[in-house]
Amino acid sequence: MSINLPELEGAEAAAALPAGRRHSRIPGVDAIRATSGFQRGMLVAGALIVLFFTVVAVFASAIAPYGFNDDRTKGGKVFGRLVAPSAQHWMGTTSGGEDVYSRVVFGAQTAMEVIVLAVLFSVVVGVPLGLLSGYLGGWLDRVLVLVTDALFAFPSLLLAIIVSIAIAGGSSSAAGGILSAAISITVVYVPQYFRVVRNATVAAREEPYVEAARTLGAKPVAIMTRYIFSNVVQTVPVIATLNAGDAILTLAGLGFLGYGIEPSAGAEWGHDLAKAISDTSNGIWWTGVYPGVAIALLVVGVTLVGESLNDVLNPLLRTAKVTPVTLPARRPSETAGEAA
Amino acid sequence: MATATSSSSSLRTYLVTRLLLVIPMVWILVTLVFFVLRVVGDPIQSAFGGRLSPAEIAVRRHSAGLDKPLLTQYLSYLGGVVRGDFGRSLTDSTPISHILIVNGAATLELTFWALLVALTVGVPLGRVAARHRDKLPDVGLRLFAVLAYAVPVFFLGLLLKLLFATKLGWFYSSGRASPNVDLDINNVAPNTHIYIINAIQYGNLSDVWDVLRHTVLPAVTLGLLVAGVFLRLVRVNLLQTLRSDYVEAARARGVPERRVVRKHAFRNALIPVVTVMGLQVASLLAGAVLTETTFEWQGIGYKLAYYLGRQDYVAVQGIVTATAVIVSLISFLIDVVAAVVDPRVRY
Repeated sequence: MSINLPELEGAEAAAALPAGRRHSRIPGVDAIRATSGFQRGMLVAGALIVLFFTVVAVFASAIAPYGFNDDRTKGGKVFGRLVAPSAQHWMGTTSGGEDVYSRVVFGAQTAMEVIVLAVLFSVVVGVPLGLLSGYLGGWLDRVLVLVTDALFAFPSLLLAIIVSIAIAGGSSSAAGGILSAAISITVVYVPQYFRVVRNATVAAREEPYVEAARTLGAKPVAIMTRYIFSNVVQTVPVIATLNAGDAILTLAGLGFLGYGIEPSAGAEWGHDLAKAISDTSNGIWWTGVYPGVAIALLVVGVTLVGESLNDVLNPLLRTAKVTPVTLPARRPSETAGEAA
Repeated sequence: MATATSSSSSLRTYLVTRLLLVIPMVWILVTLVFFVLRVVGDPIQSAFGGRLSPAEIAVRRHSAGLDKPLLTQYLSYLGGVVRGDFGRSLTDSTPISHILIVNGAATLELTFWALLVALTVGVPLGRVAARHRDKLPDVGLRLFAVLAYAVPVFFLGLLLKLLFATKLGWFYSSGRASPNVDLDINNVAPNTHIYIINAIQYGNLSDVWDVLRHTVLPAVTLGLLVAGVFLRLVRVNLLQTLRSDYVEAARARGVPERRVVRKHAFRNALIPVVTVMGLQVASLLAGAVLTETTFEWQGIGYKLAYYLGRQDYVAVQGIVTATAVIVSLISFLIDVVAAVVDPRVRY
């Protein structure tokens, strides 16, 4: 999906803040202050959802009653297949006889790990590439623009599949871990960072402050890292947040088609949903509904945060926040003066 | 007169440039897919390894031309793609071009219905949301758009299957037609492989009804995914148009707000939607892969998942390459439409 963000000056972002308050040092607080009403609700709700899943992911082994691949208790009591939700198994069991609740909890861990790595990788690859390409220009720039445009136009899921086949080395069992899934997803999102940073760099290259730095004898590396970098990465956090939501869906799509995370390497929601499709004809809902709700909820959370950040930072979408002004009561003498 | 000539020549220049850009783009994708998939090693080994003896594998490798140098293979593959020959699958030696025609028709049918759903749901709702900005309808619709995006297509498919197929029994949960209907309507004279057309040709109303009852759930599933995108697009564009000077001028002349939206702003707000539709083709096709797998709809995406499961990477390569060509061509066509509709595109 394309994200089109206009360039944003630091001053403009600051202008969005209510006057009289200083920047907060706690990240996100400025953004929350800049919102109001429904928008603030969206941002806070999204942040809470993401926080919830982060806690679940970090403490997964403490929260889940069983391991994600266990089909019996430690005492050796077998769970049974497709058992309906009960006090024993809050979300029932799968067709493989595993506890759905434990798989959903561990799925959060898998999703979080993959997404954090994937977003990190694509920023680390995409941003420097964009800087280099935009600043140096020439044939390198043309080739990179053409390649990333081609990648960008291609269905992202197919791209991720191709890369994950290549990483797995042809046999889908070789490398189905967190890292390889993250790399497959990275390839999909690198072009976005590349584009945004490259275009911003091209625009910034001719700015007087860059010209000045060049005249003072700054080396290209110094110009890129010390002068241009901080001026072209302002939109990256918003894109990264929105991408994170998309990446969760890509991971689930990969898992649904049998790629991404290997069943033995971790619980993955998309994989569980693929297994659950055939259960629907018997009216069995618990194997699919819980992992599905987990995906949807996490994506909603991440998207709400990204969207609200976008709304706050994008001057075209921003509604002016009007602070009600109470005028001091007029004194009779002033009124008389005006009349005269 | 002079302006008309210059504008039509700028249109022509734009179209030629845009067409010339398609070629390197397709070439890059074809090359990338070829080499990335060859990194995995021998496709024969991954498809048949463990099932055939080494001697048999060597024979198959030779007959598929996989024992030649990589560059020779690449050039002959590229030559094939130019002629529209994407090779044959390894596991059941079906020509990929055959899959493109037969299963491609199924995907075309699905995406057509899905787009119809997306437009009829997304565009009017986007208008409602923009009209009542920050009021209750807007809040609700924006949440709906976020949900439509956040719920994976296969999960929505699963929910719809549970509710409307298993529980209520209104629609079918898989396939494109019931088996007997499938047999009948594939016997019509020019077989379009598009079932709704075939069923109409066959002339049996109950067959048409059967095909439609199979189509509803997949079409709604895929359509809602894109509907959310359209809703947001129309909303944002209409909001921006409603702020523009000419709309303000209309308001200043005393035109009622309802008429401002309907007569002045709405159509102009739709133009960018056409442009963005080009970008949606890719996500629509990715969504189609998942939707077809969910509903066992025998389209290209279903076939792709099938060959992925059998580790037939020659077939996968063929289908993915063909998809790259199709996506590039469709986005070119949509850009042409956008350029004709909106002079600003031609820069």
